[in-house]
Amino acid sequence: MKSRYESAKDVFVDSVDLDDYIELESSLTAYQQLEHSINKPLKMILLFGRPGTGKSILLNRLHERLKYQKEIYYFDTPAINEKEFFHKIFKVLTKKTLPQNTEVNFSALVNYCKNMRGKREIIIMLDEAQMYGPEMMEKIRLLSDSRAVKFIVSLHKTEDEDLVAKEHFQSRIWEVVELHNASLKDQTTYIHKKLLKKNLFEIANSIKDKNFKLIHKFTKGNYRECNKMMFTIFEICEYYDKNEPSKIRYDRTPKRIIEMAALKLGYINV
Amino acid sequence: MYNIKALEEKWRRYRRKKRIPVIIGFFVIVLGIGAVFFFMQNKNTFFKGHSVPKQEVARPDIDIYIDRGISDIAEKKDHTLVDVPIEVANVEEDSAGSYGSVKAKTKLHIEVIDTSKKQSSFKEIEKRFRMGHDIDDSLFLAKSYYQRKNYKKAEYWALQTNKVNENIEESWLIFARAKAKRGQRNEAIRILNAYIKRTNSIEAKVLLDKIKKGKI
Repeated sequence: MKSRYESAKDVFVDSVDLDDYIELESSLTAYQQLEHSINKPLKMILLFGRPGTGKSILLNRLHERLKYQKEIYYFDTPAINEKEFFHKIFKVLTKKTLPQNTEVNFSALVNYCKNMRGKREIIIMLDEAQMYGPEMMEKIRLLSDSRAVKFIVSLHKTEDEDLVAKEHFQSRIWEVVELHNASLKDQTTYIHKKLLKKNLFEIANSIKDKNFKLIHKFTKGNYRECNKMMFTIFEICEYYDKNEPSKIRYDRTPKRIIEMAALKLGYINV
Repeated sequence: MYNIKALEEKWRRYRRKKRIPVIIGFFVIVLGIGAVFFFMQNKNTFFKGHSVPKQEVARPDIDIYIDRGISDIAEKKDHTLVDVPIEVANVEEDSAGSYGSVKAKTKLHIEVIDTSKKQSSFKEIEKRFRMGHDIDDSLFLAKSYYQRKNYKKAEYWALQTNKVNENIEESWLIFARAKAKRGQRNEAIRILNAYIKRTNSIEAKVLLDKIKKGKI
């Protein structure tokens, strides 16, 4: 027999799925800020934030919303080398595939872009841009200088990458949009909406305010950590539901289970 | 699927560890309360050591200084009042008998009549003795006259006391003293010997010795 917690668990499988996108106050603000920046005559926009703050899903949503209005492209995974990256850029700009065993002439590509100015406005979104090397970033900047191609660069905010972002882009980036971890209110809404979207009303109601506070304390409002936490909680609940139903109550989520999930994920140590 | 049993065990250890500060906190509170009680106990002991003994407390409602005759005289308002300050400590006692807080000492002023200075006072007491034959009155007069060196009257009032109650040693002694003072030493010795023979009084023996040696 399928446990009621199995569906709940699946809701929190970490993925960049636009169908699962939850509109939150903070993410809406970031989205509007990004959309407004795109409409400005900027060359590069930096989307900045710690891992799990919702950068990828925001870029996805922007792509989904604007793909019929603007010439917008989303590079979700960084190219493994420069050659592959410029193959992709070439395809975007010329809408042609480069013949095999050929390489892009970068100068020619820059000139091509310059010729496009005023005729086309191409937006390229680069996710996980911390993986591009400084040399490649310089070339991206040169392409953006043509004013025909606009780049939205999404970067993780870690100690080293923060330094890279500051040093490398400080003089070049014209707009910075920073994403933060969710507040308790936003995280509560996020969990609730996710469950309600799958019609899991009872389970949504079984998570009380004090549970949300505890979850927020452990995950610090990080969406990815939150997904992991909720997944683990429902997985433990699923086990009890199937094997030891006396140890679980359906009208509320025991603190014990949240703490067990936190122990499992290493948020707390014995 | 996780190893739930192992996770449960880990959680139990976590709970135990989490409770340690709570348990320590509880014991600290209990010890704190214990220390406060101990302090309070010592405090009580301290106060007990410094409290005024019950029997020594002078209470304003006990007229230990005023006798009946003097009270009667006081009512007539023809006397001299001497203001005598007496320190009184009010000790509050609760029903359990433990000592409570000791209030600040207050001074009680009672009026004591100096009867030795007024001749009219003696007259009043003499008059009253004749009416009631109270040996307190006669003995008071004997002592007072003796102090004022009126030995004849002292002798007389000592004799009056002795007539009412011949067992009052003081009357014997005053009588003998007065006799001696008046130069009737042999008479005084005879009286004292008779009294010593009857009672073997040490006081009388001492007085007899003094009279014999001529000290009185």
